[in-house]
Amino acid sequence: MQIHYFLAELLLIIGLLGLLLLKQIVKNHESQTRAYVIGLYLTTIVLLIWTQADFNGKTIQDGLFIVDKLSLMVKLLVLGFGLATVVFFDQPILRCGLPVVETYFLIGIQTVGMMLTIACVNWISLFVCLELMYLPIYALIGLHTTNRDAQEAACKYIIMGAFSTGVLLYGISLIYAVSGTFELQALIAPSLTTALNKATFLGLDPEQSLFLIGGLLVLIALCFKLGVVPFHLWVRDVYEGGLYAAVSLIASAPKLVLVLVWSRVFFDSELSSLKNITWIIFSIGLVSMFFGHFLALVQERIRILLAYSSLAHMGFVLLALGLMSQMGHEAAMVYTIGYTVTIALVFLVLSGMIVNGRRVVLIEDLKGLSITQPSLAFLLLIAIFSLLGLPPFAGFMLKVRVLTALIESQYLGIAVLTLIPSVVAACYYINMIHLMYFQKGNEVSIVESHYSSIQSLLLITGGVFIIGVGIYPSELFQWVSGFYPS
Amino acid sequence: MNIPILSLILWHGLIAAIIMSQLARSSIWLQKSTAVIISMLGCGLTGYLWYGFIPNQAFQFVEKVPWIAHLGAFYHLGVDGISLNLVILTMIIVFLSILSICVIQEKNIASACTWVFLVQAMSIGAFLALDGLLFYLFWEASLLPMFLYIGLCGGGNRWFAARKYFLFSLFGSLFFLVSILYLGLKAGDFSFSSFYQLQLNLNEQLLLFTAFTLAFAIKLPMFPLHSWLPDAHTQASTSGSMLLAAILLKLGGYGFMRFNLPITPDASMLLAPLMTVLSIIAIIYIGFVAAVQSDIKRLIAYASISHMGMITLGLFVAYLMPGSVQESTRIIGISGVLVHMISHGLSSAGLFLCFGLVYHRLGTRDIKDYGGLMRVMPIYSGFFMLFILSNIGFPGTAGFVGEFFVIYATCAANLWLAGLAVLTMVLSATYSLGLVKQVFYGRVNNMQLLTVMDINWSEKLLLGLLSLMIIGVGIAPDIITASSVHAIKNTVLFVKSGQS
Repeated sequence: MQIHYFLAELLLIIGLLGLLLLKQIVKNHESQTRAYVIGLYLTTIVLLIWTQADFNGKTIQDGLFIVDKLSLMVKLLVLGFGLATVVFFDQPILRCGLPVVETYFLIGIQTVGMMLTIACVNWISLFVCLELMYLPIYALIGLHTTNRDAQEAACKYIIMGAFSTGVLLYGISLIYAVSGTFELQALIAPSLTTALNKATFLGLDPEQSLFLIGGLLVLIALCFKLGVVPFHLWVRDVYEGGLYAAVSLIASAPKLVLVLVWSRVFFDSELSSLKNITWIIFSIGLVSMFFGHFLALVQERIRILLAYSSLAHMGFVLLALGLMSQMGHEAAMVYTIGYTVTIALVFLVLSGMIVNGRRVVLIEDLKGLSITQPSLAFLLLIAIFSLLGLPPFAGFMLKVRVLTALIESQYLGIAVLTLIPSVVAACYYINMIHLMYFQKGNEVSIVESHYSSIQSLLLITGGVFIIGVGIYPSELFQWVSGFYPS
Repeated sequence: MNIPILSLILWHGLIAAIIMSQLARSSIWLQKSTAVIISMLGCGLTGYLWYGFIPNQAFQFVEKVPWIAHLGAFYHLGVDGISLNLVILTMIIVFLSILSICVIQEKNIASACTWVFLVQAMSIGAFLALDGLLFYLFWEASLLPMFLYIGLCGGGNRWFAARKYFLFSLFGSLFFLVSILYLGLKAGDFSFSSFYQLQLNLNEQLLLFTAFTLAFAIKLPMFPLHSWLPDAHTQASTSGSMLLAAILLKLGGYGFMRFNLPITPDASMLLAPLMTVLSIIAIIYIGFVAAVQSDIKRLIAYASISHMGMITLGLFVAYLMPGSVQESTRIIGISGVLVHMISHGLSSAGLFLCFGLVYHRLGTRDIKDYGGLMRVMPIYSGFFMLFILSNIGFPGTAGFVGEFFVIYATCAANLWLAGLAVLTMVLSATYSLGLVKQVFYGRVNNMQLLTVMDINWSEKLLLGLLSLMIIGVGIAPDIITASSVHAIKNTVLFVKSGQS
């Protein structure tokens, strides 16, 4: 493997190590450190684009990592999310007194973890990189040492995360025991094809059943990390306890990475020949959609509402992934890109608002936002319409993409079933719009906002993305298509 | 003729909305004049379209550009006789609502105009689209500006009304989306013409018909799904009610013509009796409901629903005609539907506008608060009477032509049905004239009435324009039928293919 394809990651790691040295020189000088990290991210992005231009769409693979068009694109996206997090962490650091260098270091190393996870084609590297990606997240939540909610969230998240990691590791070891190789392609082992087609759990010979159980355990671990029913219990606490900027990271980039990992593991895999697996994934997805949307309906706290709605959206993604076909994986990837950008935008918009001297907690806090902060209200408006899947916003086109994949694969009934929870979703989404827009006169809560110019720029970029993809999605579809070998 | 005239007309509303949203902080005079000028420009564009339109051809001014290559969707616009008339209606009504905003409102003019222009853009997009996905995009997107308009500029109970409107419409359109995707995947692309050529079996047709009907029947609205409309109308502002009654309801009728009849002919044939019965129920039952309303806006809203019954009746009674019925009678029936859509658009907009003018002065919607208005506002009362007469279907007004055509066609199908449909005239005379009696004649109950002035010159101009159009269409309905004859003939062919 030519090392220069990983120059971007190397640069980021070296830069971050430099940051630790720098701490001795600049002490806790927030703005200088932030400028340094932003510069580092921008250089990495430029370097990555340069690598991509050099790369010409080949696929280069050796034992541990792969470089292909898809991974480069998703790396760019997660770098974008990382950059947004860095940019938006200035307020929390000042307000909560977080250690400056450590915070930025954690965000950076988390980005490195995500970038490496994207490129994994080996169970060992995948496992290590997933840990590299998740450990900083636990720490990022726990950094807010003066807040009990944050501590509780970090504690729950790390325990449950460790548990899911254990499940993943056990699954990997079972697969290894059967296939004798750590390559992700093990799930595509051709020797098992014929036997697995007629497989039932009880009628299997030991090797096959081990393989099947291993695959299922990996699936469970990934569902756990995606946060879908019934593996969702951490989601609520983490969304509620973390700092807004940290939650915006947790809610977006890792999900993108996980959908990609899911594709790497299960695309064209041996498991896909089993019809039952599809139905297991479908039921997880559908139950998540119903559960998420119905529970979000009765929430009063905005972050819990968004947590439950994220369950539902991830459930929708699972429906596409459950198709186990190229079309399904593409649709899932496209939908996840749109969803993560939108939800990150929502959290970042909320992160800068101050209502009566505190952060936004209740949905009621948004009352009359269109009067006090019209541009923020407008951003939230298009983000909410997009989450609801209405045209002409991104969410609509991406929903159409997933529905098309479902209908084309003869799952018309499933496609119709997904519509019912989305009407339920409409109830609470438009309630938010009602609070923001339909208030008059004295019923308004006073909202102040603090956004630097670079933060505003990022927010506007998000808004432009939502409208742009909603009107002309071809470019995005084109970008993602063709990544998966047909 | 290389100007992309349809795109210009479509994008006109969006650009206008963007311009208006930027003017929120400038002077009232600037806001008003900009809105009126932009809207006149739109009318000019439509006039150019009308001038260049050739009556005896199918879709004209077609523009087709790849849009979403992955799904086979195109940015595909075109206009035929049916959509031409509806586009003209939209532009005229938008112009009048902009004028009414300028006349009635003192503040928030820019934001109100923004929503009006957005509604214009979305509904014109739906009328012009020849691609299923594009149609759906505009159809669904038309929901948002209206929802926000009701919620932002409505009355005291606006949140309830806006939510009801939103949820009803959303529920209907979701199944419509799945049907369009299903058709698109089956046909390979989303253009209407490939939808029309699909050979679907009866089960598929029945499911699709149900999904389409759910969407359009909620929008129109048809009898059991109508309850959102009175609430939306009572809470919407005057211009919002005008747009809702005159344009957005027509999207439902247009959808029936473009989707149900051509795509699912066998299912339409099978379910035509059911649809006819529902239409008759709407005409009679809702007519009675309208007669007992004490809120003037609710009364006009129920009258709208009752009149919309004529539209579905006219469309589906065509299936009940025996084979011996002449082609010309069938054509009269379907063109009656189109004329009725236009005339109802004009007369209901007129009624809402008229009522808006007096509501602006007195601030009450209750019939009991009025009485003897004729003495105080004689000129205004004259205009109101004209719109009421058109709503009843009085000969010489626009309302007469459409109802007459539809009832004429119904006679050819079934005399009993026609007998029931004719009740619409009696019923609407009952509630409309009852309204007139209570509001305009009798003693003045409310002393506040004596303080109001009659309408000023700008209001006269506004109502005069509308009256001219209503009388014009009433005397010379050829304006509408001549341009749409080819499109109507096509629709008749679709109906015949269902019957055979």
